[in-house]
Amino acid sequence: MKAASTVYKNESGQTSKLIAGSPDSTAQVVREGRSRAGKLLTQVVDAPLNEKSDEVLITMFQQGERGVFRVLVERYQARIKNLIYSIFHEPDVIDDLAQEVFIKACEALPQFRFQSSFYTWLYRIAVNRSRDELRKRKLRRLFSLQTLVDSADREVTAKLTVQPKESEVQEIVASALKSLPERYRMVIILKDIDGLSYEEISEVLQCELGTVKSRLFRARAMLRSVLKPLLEEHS
Amino acid sequence: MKPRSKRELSEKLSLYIDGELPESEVREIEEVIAGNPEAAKELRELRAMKSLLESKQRAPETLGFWTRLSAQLQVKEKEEESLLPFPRRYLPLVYVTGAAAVVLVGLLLFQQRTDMIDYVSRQSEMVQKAVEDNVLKGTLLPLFTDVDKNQALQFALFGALPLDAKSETALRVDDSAERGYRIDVGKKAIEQIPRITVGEFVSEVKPTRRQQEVIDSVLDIGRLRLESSVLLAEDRALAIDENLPRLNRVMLSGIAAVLEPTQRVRFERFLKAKKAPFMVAATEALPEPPEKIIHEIRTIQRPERMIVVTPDTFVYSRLELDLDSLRRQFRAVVAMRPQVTIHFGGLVKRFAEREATARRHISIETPPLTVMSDSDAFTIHIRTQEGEVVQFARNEWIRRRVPITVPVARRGRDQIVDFNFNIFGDDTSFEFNVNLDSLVLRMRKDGPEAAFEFFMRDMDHEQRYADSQRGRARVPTDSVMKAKERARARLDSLIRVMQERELRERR
Repeated sequence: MKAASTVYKNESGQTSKLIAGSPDSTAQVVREGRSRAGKLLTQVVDAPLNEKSDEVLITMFQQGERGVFRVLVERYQARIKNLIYSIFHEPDVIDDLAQEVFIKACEALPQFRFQSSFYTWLYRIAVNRSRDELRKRKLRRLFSLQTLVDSADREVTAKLTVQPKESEVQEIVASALKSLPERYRMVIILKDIDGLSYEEISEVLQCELGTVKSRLFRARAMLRSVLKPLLEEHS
Repeated sequence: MKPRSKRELSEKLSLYIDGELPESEVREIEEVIAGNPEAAKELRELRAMKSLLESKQRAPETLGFWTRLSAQLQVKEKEEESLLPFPRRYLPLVYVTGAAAVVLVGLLLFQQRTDMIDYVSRQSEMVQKAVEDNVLKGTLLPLFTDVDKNQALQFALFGALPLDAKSETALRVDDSAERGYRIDVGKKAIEQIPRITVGEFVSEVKPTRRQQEVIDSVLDIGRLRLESSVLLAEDRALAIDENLPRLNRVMLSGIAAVLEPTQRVRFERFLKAKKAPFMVAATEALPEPPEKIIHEIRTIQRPERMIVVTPDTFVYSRLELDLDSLRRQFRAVVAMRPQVTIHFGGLVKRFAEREATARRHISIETPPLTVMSDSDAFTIHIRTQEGEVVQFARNEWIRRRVPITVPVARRGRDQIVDFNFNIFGDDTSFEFNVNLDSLVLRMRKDGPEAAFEFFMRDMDHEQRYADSQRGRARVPTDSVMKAKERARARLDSLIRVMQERELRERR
């Protein structure tokens, strides 16, 4: 917030546009506008966009510089894709869902009020979109005999009956994660895979801190029971 | 404070490995771990699990993410822009002008507020109803799943498809006794569906290998189409593909068209022996090329519009269905057949109760549609315009063999079991045919007045109904007409009394 106010202190009421350059290189942002006295003012700011903070970039976006969205996308696409991959463990859906998340973010960014950090806000969009997708899939499975949990559970148990190779361990962990109910799966992914703090998780999931703690404890207990043979070996 | 239970210990260990345990408790938990091998083991496992998750495989790298995303964003932006019939910079001006216009119109309408209040209240009721009726948002279940080729052939030859293995319920498409087509769904539709197999057909008609392939394709396409043609939204509504009657004819025509004249004679013999409702007509004509036949059936592959029937209303609706994904779920639904049957039974029961709600004003988007129902079946009658029948199917190959059967809802102990009446709205009208099995019961119980009450909701509408009935064979019975006349006289006298009272008050 501090950075944003410094940069835009003298620029209120001006229009601006990104004229050239990839966000990776030094971008030239030319701002044109009329000062209060009506005098044309041109200011060239030479600064690497990818070094600017999220807040600065968002403020620029809200001022009309749509081009800076690319920097935000490139900064967070890997994390968002990982989050989606951890939830679904299906390479096919990652790109589609991640695109939807960023489209949604782009649409909602003009209304972003800096009440939370950008990435927790983005995570929240990604988590909500993933939940929607899971809900849709659950509806589709509503009338199948086996629930997702049952089948994923069985899958893990079957894989653990023989000594798994190192390459299979990842697969087993992913299947075990899939066997958790959505609310527990989300919390453990956000904590142990994405490394968010408890406070950040509570912001992303929009729940109390106590809820985060208890869900995380339960998620770990469930996962531990599913992965017991593997953990005994690894510990 | 040391943990008092195993659960509390586990909770604290979970916080401990995250470094989220308050400092005051860290030392205590470390003491517990040191003195308790179970706790130490749990901690080791939790750490191992955490490290496994931390090292979990990352999402595979993909190229061109931004390129695709920016393209999508541009498309979205253009879509938004294209919605505006003026440059975006005029948007604020348009908002202000729009707001001023709204205020002006509001002031004008305020002077006619009584009418407006009535109008708005009517409209809001309709909107509310439309929302309530938008039932197809729930889980959609296909009524027919796992249709095999034998069943597809059965549908092509007889226009009928049993709903379940016990064959208590079926779907049947046929010509209507009135102009148009009808789709019967329910127990009665099962009557007289002979079981036939593709094997029987092949041994009788003796098609060549190539012909068999084409027939196989026809049956396959028909089978897939059938699976997505009747969808059940739990026990609230049924969506039926309006082209279903056409499908049966096109399939049968396709089979007839691929055969040589001699084979067609054998086919006709087979159809006759099985008492199929259609016969092969052009036995001398040369076969059609397979591409043409397949093209013909493919053109009706996807339903564009479905008839949505609920216990209260029925509408034509364009459903945005992802049929491919729906089809992928079909196999799963097979196992849940009993639930589907129960849902369907519930729906038919609710249809049967419909005459109780028939007094409501129901609007319909497209008039030429009638739904009739009784306790265990219902019939959708799609009326066609003059000449429309020609384009409905390739009639040169097939011809109706048996006289058209009367609609299911009209079968019964008496000659007249159903009852037609029209309801006219301000700008719409629709014909509503109710099966009167239950209404007849009510008449027997309460006397003719019950039927009269049912009939006489609106005198003006009734007059128009009587006009619309001119030329029709079926007219209300004398007793009902006399009852209506008595009611009209009573109402007229009541109106006169009210008018006189009003005049007196004015003076």
